[in-house]
Parts: sequence; C-alpha cells; structure tokens
Amino acid sequence: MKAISPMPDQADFLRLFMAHQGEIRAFVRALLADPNDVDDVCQEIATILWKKFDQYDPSRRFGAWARGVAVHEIDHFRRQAHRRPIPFSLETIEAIRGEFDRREPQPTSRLLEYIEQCLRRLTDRARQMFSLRYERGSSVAEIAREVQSAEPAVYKALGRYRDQVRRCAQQSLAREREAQK
Amino acid sequence: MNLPEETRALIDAFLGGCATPEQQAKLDRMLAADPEVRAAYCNAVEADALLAAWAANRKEAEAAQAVLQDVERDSTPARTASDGVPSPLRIHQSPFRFRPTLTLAAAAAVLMAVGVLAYRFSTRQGGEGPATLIRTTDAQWTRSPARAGDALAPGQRLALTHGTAEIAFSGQAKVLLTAPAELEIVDAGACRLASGKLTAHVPQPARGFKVHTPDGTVTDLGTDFGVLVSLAGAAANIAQQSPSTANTEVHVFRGEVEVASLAGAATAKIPAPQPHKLTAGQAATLTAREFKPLPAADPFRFAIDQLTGQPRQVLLAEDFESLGAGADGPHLGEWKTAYNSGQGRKVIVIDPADPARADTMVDPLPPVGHSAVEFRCSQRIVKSLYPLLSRNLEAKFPARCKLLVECDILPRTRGVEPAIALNADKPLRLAPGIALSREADPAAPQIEWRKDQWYRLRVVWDMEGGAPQGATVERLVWYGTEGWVRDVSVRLPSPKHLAGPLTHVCFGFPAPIAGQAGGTYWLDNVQIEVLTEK
Repeated sequence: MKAISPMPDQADFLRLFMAHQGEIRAFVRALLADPNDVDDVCQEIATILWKKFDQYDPSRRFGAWARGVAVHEIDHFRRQAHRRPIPFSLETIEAIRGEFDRREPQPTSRLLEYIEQCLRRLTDRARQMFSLRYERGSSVAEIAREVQSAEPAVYKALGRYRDQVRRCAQQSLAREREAQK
Repeated sequence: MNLPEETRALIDAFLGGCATPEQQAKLDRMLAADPEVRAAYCNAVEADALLAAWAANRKEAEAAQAVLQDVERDSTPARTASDGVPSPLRIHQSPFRFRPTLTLAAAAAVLMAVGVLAYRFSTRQGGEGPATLIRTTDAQWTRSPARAGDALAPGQRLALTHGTAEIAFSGQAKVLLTAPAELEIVDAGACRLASGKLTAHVPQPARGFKVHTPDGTVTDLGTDFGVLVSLAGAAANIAQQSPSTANTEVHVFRGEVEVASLAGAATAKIPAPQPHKLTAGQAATLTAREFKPLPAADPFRFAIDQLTGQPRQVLLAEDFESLGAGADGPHLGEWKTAYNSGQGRKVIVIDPADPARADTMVDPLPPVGHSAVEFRCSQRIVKSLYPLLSRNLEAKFPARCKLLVECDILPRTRGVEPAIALNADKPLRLAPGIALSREADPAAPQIEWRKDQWYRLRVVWDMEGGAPQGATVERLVWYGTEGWVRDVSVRLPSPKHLAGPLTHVCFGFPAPIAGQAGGTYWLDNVQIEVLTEK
C-alpha cells in the first residue's frame, strides 16, 4: 500500500513539525492554565506555522521559531471572550521560552513508548489517577471526589507520579542512547 | 528535585488548576527569578504534555482496534477492496498493525487545519493502454467488476453502482468517478460520461483532455473540474440539487475549460457555435440547445472526501441559501480588514427574555491586532432563537469564533438507516451568547446517530453573492459506544469520552480574507455525512 507523498515543502514541514510537536505542546501547556485549551491553541499554531513556513529560516531552530509563533497565538487566544489571562508576566514568559530554547528536542515517539512501560511500574492508584486525569480529562476536584481525597493530596500525588514517570522515561532513553554508542 | 516541598506543591497546584491568584502570582515571580524553579516547572509541564499525548494515542489505538475487528468481521466479498491508501496522512503502512503514534494526529491536524483542498490523486501511473483503473473505494460494478490495477481498453465501459473509482489516463489526466456513473474510455486523452459524476484533475501535460457528455464536450485547458450528467430519473446523492431541466453541468475549480455544446454541428451554411470558456469558480449547465451559466462552481457537490477519497453518504444537508438568503438570510458576521483607532469592537447583547431584540454595542476597548471580526445578528435569525443556553449576555467577539452544533440523540423511530438529528429545539449556537436556528421544518428529514460510526460535519461559509471565496470547515466526528462524539481532525477513530446526551462539534470561523475590504459571511450549507469505515 503506497502512501501518497505530499508536496516537497509539505513533507519538510510535516517532518519538522512532527519532530517538534511534543515540544510545542509542552510549551503551550506551560503557559495556559487550562489544559483543555492546549489542543485548540496547538491547532491554531500548526495552521500558522504552515502558513508562514515559507518565511521560516532553516538555519534557525524550528522549535525556537515555533515558540515565537506560539507566544503570539497564546496571546491572541487569551484575548478571546471568557479566557482567563495568562497567569504569567511577560518576563516569565520570556524566561520560560528561554528555558525551552536551551533544551534539546525530545524524541517524542520514543518517550511515549517508554511511558507505556514506565506506567506499568506504577501502583494501581497512580495509574487510576492518570487515567482519570489524562484519559477521562477529569479535573482535580472531580478526581478528589472520586478517590475520596482532598484536592491538595490529589495534585501533589499527580505531581509525584508524573515526576516518577518522567524520570523513568528519561532513564530508559538514556540507556537506549548508551546502548547505541 | 532539589526544590523545597512548598515550591513543588505550588507547581503541582498550578498544573492541577488549583492555584489561587496569590499562588499564581507567587509562581510567576519565582519562575521569573529562579532558573531552578523554571527548570522544574518545564520538566513537569513536559511530562504533563507527554502524558496527555500518551492518553490520546492509547484511546485512538483502542478505538482503531475496535474498528479493525468490525472490518474483519463484516468483510463483504462482493465489494472491491480499497487499494492504496487515499489519505495522505497515513504514514505507516499496514492498517492491521496499528502503532499508536503522535505523528498521524499531528500531521492530520496540520493538513486539516490548513484546509488542503486538492484531492490527493494517487501517484501510481497506469500501464500501457489509454487508461488504467488506479484505485477504487467501496466500488461495486454492474457488469464485469474492474479491479485496481486493471488496464482499460479504448471503448471500454465502466458502470459503477457504488463507491468511487479513480482512473488515470496515459495522457496524465486523472478522473474520479462517483457512483452511480457510467464512463466510457475513448482514448488516452478523452472519455465519455454517459451519466453520473466525475471530477477531473488535468495537469498541464494533459491539456486538451476531453470529457464528452450527451450534451456537449468539455475540453480541459489545464484544470480541476467536475462534470455531472444527470439523466431523467437517475438517482443522485441527497445533497444534489440539480435543477430538473439540466442535463449536464460543468463546474471548474481551478484553471480553465472550454465547453462546446452539441447544439448544432457545423453545416455548410451555419458555423458551429463558439465554445464557451469557464474559469475557476465558474459553472454552467449544458443542454443540447443551450449553454447557461450557473451562479458559481460548487465544490460542495463534487467534493469527495478530501482526505480519504471515500464516497459520501450524506445524511443531512441544509442549504441555508435556499431558505431565503438575501437581506434577511442567515447572516452571521461581518468582517473588516482593519480597525481604525476610532473604532472599537462591537458587542452583541442578547436578552434571553427578549431574544427578538439584538443590540449591538460599541465596545470601548481598543482593537486587537490588525484584523478582527464583528458580528451582527439579523432580526430574523434572532426571532427564531430558542432559549439560549449561554449564561453570559455580553459577547465580545474575537477574530475567531466557534460554531457549535448541538444535536440530540433521537430514538430510532422511522426505521431510517443511519441518521442524525439536528434538533430544531436546539439552536446552532455561536459561542458565546448568540445562536442560529432554522425554523422548525416538519418536512426536514429526521435522522439519528448511529453508534460506532464516523461522521463528517461540514459547514460552508460563503461570501456575499454566493461566490465561493468563503471557506469550508469540517470536522470528523466519532460517535462511540458511550455516546459521546469527540471532535477530531484525523481520519482514525477518536478517543471515546464519557457519555453525554449532547453532541458538540466545534468549528473555527474562517479568518478574514486578506486583501479584501470587508464583506459578509453567510452560512451557506451545513452537511453531515457518514464516512464509510475502512
């Protein structure tokens, strides 16, 4: 079954975009208080990135360029009706952007596979909370009701488990890289 | 992590959506000042985004598995299997070894979001002979079934009763035939459409490609165009609204064609009538006697699923234009390319107690950016509003707005196969605070959702005058076993969420068109169609 190849610059764009999609998503998440908005904004950003792709300077890092667009789009987004303002000052936004710029792009699909494995090492409770939070999209308040806990206990637990998974995935990735040398 | 417990808790509270304004401000200060806090925050955020992506993929994989099981269970040998992968977004090969990835969703989101409209014709070329059947989707034939890869001979006739078939001519033209249709291969540069619908893509090298119809000949001059031949009594898809007297219609989407009617061949005394030219955006009907322009090319009727090439089964199509567009038509908005500093944004206020009255107020806030959209609600629309669901009266409209279509799940009362109900009691709601509703029409088809099925919801926005310069926005939706339909932009099954009685589909309102001084967006068509599973 042969896949249809898109036009050449579309292929370039898709390749770059997909390689950085996780990074862009994380950056947007860093600036938006409501995770439900992340999808919408990411889609907007994707559109704009594509539209402006002819202006992209390949000598520049795609992630950095994309984050510039993202900041603009987030600003645009938050000015819409009923959007809460971004909780962070311009200075903070720029600082976060700098932090992302410093980081190496992550191989998202590899990480996702490792996450699958790492999740199996968690307790049932941890998996349950992740399922509620990420698969069902429940709020912390809803999770708290469901697991009969206080909200702070829930968000701290989520943070702890998130951290565990992250470290586990990073370690797996590091091991993989070592093995490849 | 070396951070104090308190700081970690602050980050977690914020990411959990539980931070108070004071806590947010504190986090803000810490993030600006302390690189370690920043690093920790970014780590947490990366993990959060990754987990969200993981969850989304997982559900896609589960749903895909469910679909595949259905497909395998319900294999119907009478149908020609789909050859080739119509979607340009399917990067992995076999559908039977689905690997959850982030990439498909991303690619699909990008291409969908940018509204890639060109039909993705397959890149396979034909063999010898004037033409080759490249690909079929769900095809059924009356006589000897043709299969993808078959070379087609001159004079060969294809009678398609179901599905679509794509044919590549060795002159490089490509034709998509949509059932029911009958096509005859004439030679490498021509075909004859006896009935049905075809969409042609003719690159420059194939310039001069001809489509003969009972009423005349369409000669391509380097285009994408559609030809529709309807015979009296021939069934067409539900969305088709061809006037009863027209036989052949030609719609041009890109480039130029020449249309020569059969109205009188040249004789010694009377020269043949001059062929007419149609360019992009134009259309005409052609009978043996008369060439008559149509208002505009309608890609809506010829459009095949831009992503998948699947045939369209239309469940519900509302043509608001025909409901009486004009000064009172479903006028949804106005846009301007720029605001001067003296102008503010307009605010529409709707009082649920008195929805017949809609006021526009000038918002003294400074304008945003260089372009913005203002909305006006015509009296007629407001009058047909049903109780509004929005709590907030003041609607400040941004440059983009979402159109919500709310549908109720109706019980299967009419024994009509798959269906969707656009319930007149629930208005089409433009968020926030404004809604559009059609008058309740007892004659309108009542349809209902069928579970575990893909649907496409498509909204066409036209510019004033019906010229196709507006935009089409589409969403693919999946009605899962829990009953919730989730907005997705990929062809693959979407995550299934918890059940809710309502179905929400969101569209982004298209951005103003650069270079135009201003205009009016009219809601032109709403269409809901079933995507066949593959």
